[in-house]
Amino acid sequence: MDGRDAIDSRLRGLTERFRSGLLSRREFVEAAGVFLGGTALASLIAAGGPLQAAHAAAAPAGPPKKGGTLKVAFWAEPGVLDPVFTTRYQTLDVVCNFFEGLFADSAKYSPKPMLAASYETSRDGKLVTIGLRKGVTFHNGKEMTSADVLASLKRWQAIGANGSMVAKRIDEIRAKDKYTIAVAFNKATGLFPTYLSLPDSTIVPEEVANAAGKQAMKDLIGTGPFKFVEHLPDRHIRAVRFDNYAARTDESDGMAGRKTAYFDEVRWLVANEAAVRADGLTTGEYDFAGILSWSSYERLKTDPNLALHLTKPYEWLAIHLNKKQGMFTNLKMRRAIQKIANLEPANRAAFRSPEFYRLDPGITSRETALYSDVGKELFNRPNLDEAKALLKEAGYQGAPVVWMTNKESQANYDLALTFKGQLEAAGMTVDLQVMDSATLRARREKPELWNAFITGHPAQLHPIMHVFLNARWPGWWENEKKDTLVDAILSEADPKKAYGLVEDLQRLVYEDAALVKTGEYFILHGARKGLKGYASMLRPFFFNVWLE
Amino acid sequence: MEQPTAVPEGPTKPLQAADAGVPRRPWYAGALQRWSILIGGALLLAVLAVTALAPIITPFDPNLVRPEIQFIRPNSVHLFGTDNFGRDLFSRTAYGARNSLLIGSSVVLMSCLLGTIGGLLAGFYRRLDTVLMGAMDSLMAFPGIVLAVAIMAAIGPRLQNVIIALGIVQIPRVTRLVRSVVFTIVHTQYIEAGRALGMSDIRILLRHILPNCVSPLIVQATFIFGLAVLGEASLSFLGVGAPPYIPSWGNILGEARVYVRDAPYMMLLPGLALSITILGLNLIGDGIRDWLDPMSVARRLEAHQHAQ
Amino acid sequence: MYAYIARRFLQAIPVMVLVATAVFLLLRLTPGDPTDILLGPEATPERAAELRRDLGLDKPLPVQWAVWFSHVLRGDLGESIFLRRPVTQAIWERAEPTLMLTFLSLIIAVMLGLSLGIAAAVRQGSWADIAAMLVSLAGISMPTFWIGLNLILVFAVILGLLPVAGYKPLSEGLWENVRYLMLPAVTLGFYDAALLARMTRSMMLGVLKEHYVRTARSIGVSERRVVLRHALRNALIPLLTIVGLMFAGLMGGALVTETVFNIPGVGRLLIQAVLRRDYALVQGIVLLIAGAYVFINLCVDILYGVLDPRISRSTSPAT
Repeated sequence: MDGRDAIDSRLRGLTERFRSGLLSRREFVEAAGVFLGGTALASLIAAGGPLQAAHAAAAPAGPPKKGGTLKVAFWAEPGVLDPVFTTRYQTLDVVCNFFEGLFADSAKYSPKPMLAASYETSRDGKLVTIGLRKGVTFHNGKEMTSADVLASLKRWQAIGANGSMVAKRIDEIRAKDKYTIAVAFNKATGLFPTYLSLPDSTIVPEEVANAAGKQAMKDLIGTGPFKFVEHLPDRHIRAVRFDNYAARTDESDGMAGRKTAYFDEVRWLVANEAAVRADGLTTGEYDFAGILSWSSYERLKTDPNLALHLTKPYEWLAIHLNKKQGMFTNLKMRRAIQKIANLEPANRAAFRSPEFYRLDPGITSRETALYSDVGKELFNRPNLDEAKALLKEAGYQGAPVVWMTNKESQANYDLALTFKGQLEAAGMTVDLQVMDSATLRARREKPELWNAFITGHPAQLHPIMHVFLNARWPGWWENEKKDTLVDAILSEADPKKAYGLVEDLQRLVYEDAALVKTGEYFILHGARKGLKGYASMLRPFFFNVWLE
Repeated sequence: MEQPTAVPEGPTKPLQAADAGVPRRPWYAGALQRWSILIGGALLLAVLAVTALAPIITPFDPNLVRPEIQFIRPNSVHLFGTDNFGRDLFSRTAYGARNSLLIGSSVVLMSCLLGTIGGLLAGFYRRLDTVLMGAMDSLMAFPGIVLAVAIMAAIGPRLQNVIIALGIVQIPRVTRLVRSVVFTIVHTQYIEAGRALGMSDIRILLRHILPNCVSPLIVQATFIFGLAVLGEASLSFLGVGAPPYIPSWGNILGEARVYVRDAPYMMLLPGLALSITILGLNLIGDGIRDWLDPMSVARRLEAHQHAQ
Repeated sequence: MYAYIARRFLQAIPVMVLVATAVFLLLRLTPGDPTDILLGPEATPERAAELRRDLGLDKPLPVQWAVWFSHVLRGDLGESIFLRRPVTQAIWERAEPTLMLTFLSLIIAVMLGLSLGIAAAVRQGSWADIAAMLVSLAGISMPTFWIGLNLILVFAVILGLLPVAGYKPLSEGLWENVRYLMLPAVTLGFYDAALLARMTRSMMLGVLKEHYVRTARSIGVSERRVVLRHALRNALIPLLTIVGLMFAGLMGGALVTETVFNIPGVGRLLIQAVLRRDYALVQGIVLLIAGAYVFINLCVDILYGVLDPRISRSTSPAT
């Protein structure tokens, strides 16, 4: 990469972070000023567009106003509200306001202490001592002690999606005293704080955790700035400010640091149709409308009373190939798909405008510290001739590619349909099977039933937490080098070395063509102009947010 | 005792409605019915023509995804405009007509065949009647679409499954109809005479009872056709009908629903085509029914019980 | 008479059992189960298997059926896996929208259909008659959801008079409630209004030709009285039974309408429950709908039998 490329990419990175609100205007100008002269910078900012303008306009906000009720148009009925029991996004999007864990995500998606006061690792990395903050109260008035943390983490290891994975490395967790716990590992796990920042490691009172066991919690009692009040399925969820919230004193940083609940009450109102949410936002019935349709963007951006927020990062989508049975056990066949997939038109069809998607090879998004573009020679370089050659080498005879898709996710279906056309143009036959998601989930457990399907992965996630790295997850990626790398990353405490290992992992994903990334996409939220402080992170949280 | 030298054959002429004492309307009173049949027939022929000529009159591939020409409003090149995938809507509607008509006729065939057999058996054999009508009542205990949704969810979204699901929903109606026809004739002296003369059951059923079912069946068939096309549209609209990439009227309208604000033409024109087809069918059905059996209000009740 | 009622009632019981079993089988044969939806996209396959065991979903089908059926006999419809509350409560919470929608649609259907049918019958052969009949013919030819979409386009999007979709409960005022239900009710009631118009017209025509009507006219009874008091009264009986059947039919039609207009009613709950494989909920709803259906049909049959003695006396009903 020559000097200009380096400047370009650094500048792009800076612009991305400014646009998603990670850098303030001043920081951006200062950083960018290093690379450019004044006029170039001005034109760059001008080229930002209304989403940019939203943030620029958001900058000069008045002092925070306390009080009022926030009415949020929510897109689906969350169902079970227990973040340890379920990994549904709809649930996590709501309960992030009520619960906290030992660590929390900073604005850059790296773990910062939340309920933990201190974190010490022994020399060999096998013993971790975590000091807890004193004087933290639960919503029921009880003070948080090591007994509560112990019970919560025990449950986390038993049923948590990530907890059960890391549990294999944990020998024992015990309480040293009222405000200290000790974790004994059989293998050093440098990544442990990241695990403790995920929603399934939420801390709840001891009696609640024990009463729930392997079922979902009946009472939602956390330590967060908002307190859960009631839940009427398909109607609303209500929460009020928790007056005894024990706030941290360090500066707010994403979901970490000081959290202040300015609203008296937050109400999530279920409205399944995007059109209804958009309408309600326009009329003022809602103050915040989640997940608006991309096609309504053109219309809504002209409304002076609204501010549109892009959630960046959100998810990236990939074509998963069946590596256990069928034609894609052959590496050449998988490489052929890599060479056929032309991502720009597919993403255009699905997301309408380049504002809403991004094509890069990272298995984690640019906004995180672990982003890398390793493997880019195998990403989005469609070449029909090479593809046909690979198919021939692999001995492809025209057997139909059984591709499962579902209509509940419009993007999934739109991409699948476009790729079907591309595969057929390369001389393959595709049997596109559309089914509802419950059927799809059931069928993808059976290797004899499918060859390919598309699904999404959280874009901000630490790479080794991706489900597809589990050899038992549909796709069945069995690879010794992968296992070694994952283990090494888990153990590594030095961030520089860990980054190198992550790059190796990413390279492996591309060389082994375990999956074919189709691109990253962003979702659109809308709010009334007067809503200030909204951080536009993955989870729409409403602390540190107020309405002017 | 003398034996009759020749055993007279059973009744040779099939039983007519006139024999049962129902007066026929004079031929000149059928003007309105003729108009109905003519107009309905004309509409249907137009639709059929478009269907048959689809490959010739549509210059675009109905399934070709071309995102660069998304959302074009109807113009001289794209008569109905293009959808969110850039597919030409006129081509999709024309090919959709094929699938919808295929489904309609298959459902009619299936339900009429199975329903007639069931109705004949139920009307003729008392013991079978209880069992069969119990089964029919169970099927009719569901609002039609609920039953269809449940069946489709169980057996999967394929075209042939839509036919099966909708066919099952319509069977009870045909069974009841045929059964009631059987009842009105089975106790007449005509049939008793036939039985006394030793005619086999099958002969009686096929030669004397079945022909009387034909005219009400034809009327019923036109309505079932319409209901089947509407049923497929509703199922596809709800997402449990034909697979989405197969153009069917229900799919086209279902996909258009999301864009009703930004691109209303997507649902207006294909929906119009659908409605005109059903209108034609209803006109024909009305005309035939009025022509054949204008007095039977009860039959009207049967014919119009809808499965929404 | 009572024997007839008792007989029909008894016939309904095996029907309900059959319905319950059929629904159960259909659901369990459908691929997929509630665990994956419940646990979300990042859950491990091991955890899903464990939950399946905990929910008893790995037991053989007859066992599962027996467990469920024994609960049903005790009046316990079970708990919704997804919503975490009793099935009866989940349905009850959504009964108001569906019932309000159905009643409103019925009122519109009856008012529109009757008046159109009577007006057409009275002016038989005139342009008004032909126009009315064409409109009703069109009404039964258009798919419900298409009518709904067009109404949304005209009244909500273009004219902005009524809301696009959604529902406001009665607790927030009758006017708001009706305002949100206006377009859905017209959508749902349209088909039946058209149907009723056609039926009313043909029945009125039949009745208007009767001798007693001619007599009434000849002795100088006003036309209005003839129509309303004599003709209509006689046509009303079969019409009432049709209305009863329509009510049952509307509950099914509500399914599509609730989806188009995003009304949190029982119909939409059913679709969502099917998609989530919320077994107990689907089974409970279908059982209740079938039960209501059978009950209404029974009432209509009894009414018919009461009003028309010829029917109840015959050994086999002709219709």
